[in-house]
Amino acid sequence: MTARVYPPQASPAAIAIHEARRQTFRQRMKTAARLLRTHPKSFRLRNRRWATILLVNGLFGLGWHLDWEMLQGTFATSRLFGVPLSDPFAALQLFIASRSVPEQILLGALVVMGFYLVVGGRAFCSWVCPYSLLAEWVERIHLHLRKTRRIHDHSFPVTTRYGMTVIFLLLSALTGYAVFETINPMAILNRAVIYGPSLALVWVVGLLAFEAFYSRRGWCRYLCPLGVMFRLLGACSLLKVQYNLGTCHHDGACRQVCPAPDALEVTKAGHAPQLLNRLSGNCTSCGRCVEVCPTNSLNFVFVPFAPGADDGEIRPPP
Amino acid sequence: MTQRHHATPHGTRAGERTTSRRTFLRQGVLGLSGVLGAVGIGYWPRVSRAAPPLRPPGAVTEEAFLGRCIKCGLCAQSCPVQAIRLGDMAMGFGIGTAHIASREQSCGFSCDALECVRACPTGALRHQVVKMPRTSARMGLAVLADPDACLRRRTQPLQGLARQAGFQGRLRRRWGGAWQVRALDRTVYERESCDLCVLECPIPQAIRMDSARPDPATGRLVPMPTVLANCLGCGVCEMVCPTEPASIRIHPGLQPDQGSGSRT
Repeated sequence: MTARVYPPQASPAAIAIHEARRQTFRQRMKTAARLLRTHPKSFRLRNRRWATILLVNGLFGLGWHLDWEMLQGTFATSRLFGVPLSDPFAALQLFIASRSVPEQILLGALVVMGFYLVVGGRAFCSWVCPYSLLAEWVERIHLHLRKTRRIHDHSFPVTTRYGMTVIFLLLSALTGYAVFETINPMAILNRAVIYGPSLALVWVVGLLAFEAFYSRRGWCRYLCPLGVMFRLLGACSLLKVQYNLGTCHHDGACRQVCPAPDALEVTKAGHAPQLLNRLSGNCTSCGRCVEVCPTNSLNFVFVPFAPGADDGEIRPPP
Repeated sequence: MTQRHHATPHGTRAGERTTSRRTFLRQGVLGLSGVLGAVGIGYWPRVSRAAPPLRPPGAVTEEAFLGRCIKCGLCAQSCPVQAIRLGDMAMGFGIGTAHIASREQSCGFSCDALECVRACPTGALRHQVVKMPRTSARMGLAVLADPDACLRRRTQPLQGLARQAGFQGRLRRRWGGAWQVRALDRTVYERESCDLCVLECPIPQAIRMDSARPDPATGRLVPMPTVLANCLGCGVCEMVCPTEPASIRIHPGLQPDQGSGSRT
């Protein structure tokens, strides 16, 4: 067996586990398969998440239809009990496009960013974004088509969405419009929920078709610049999923359900630098991996009280 | 992208790697161009030379408005007659921006406190107009766009509803000392000669009914409404006009000193 290279920041304890596991690969796979078979299926977190998305979006709709004073607006900017809330990417585009910083928008964006700094950056993607709910349902069509070998999944470089972010900010500067908001499926759905259906839903259906037939969760994984904003926040958020190398069997059940492209790279054999590793900001805190893991090796932790280390931004092999 | 700093458990051969990298790049370029193509829809109104939409009171210029409006709909939610709507895809970059379709539901300056301007968090509706004379919040001007259709000019009476039964438009007024919102199709008019635009105009000295004005085409003296310099473009005249389409319409952004607004 050839020598294996480990991440430079890998601890001796983690390396020892990785080395020991290379010797017992077959046996571990058998154990993992048995554990996976007997692991009870749980959808508790997922159901709560779906309920949260429907509730939050429904509240915005009700706020309009029942003329509530306490909740007004859309995700772009709203007022909750008088507190302004703003979509940070829409706010950034507005600042650049209009070359001004309206204080209410700035305050609203800071409040939202502060909130997601606590509960986990891309928690927005999994727990609030209406598009992600539709995308999650459409993902089942994609997986079924792939299972029956009628389509292939096409992945993009994860850097694509950073490119998208830069391009859309540049476009805002050049045109003077918040260009991304023209095609933002999250905002289009949000307005449709509140004010009724619009022609723009055709674009959203097109995106969903792209995800169903071409690229699994393609928009959320590789394209959405709003996800990038929250991903950057997520890098230093307080609530994270932590991976325990010591109990893991590397069966890969978590990676099959994960909506983010490379948040769970750390769970692959030989990748984890520490015994306890917190997932990177790509993690959307959806909790599917926590539910499916047969050995409870993945758990939500509150970072100030968690002993683990960050996963060192592990990226997939190019 | 940072350097890969760990081993791949199941390594790929060098040949495969370059192929997949090329595919990756190609798909990245394809994806980006696809999305940018979708953005091109933003220029549709400019390509199709669509008329600019009527913006709520106190709006900055159309170009600035498109960049300023964050599409939050707070103005729409504060409007007591729900005159403000959010744009659809056909409005290009104006998707989700606040605008008013006067024919369906006019603004009418019916709240009088410019609630939409107060609600606007970005300054797309200029906050300072709240304390300035109402003319600074002008949305546009009413223009007798189709004089030949005007019932008054043809000295025709108006008996019954202004618009068809079931029309959803509302007027918010002080009726008997209290503010009320009343559906237009609840009011039955009995006018010997139609003068609804003057009758329902909520702005003092904004429109006048002239008994005899020279017809622009024939030069004959005919009765006709005249829009005055006080007009704020609130759109009530357009909403109540009984002809289909409306003979009098709001031209967005027009000021009394420009165009034909005050003289038509």
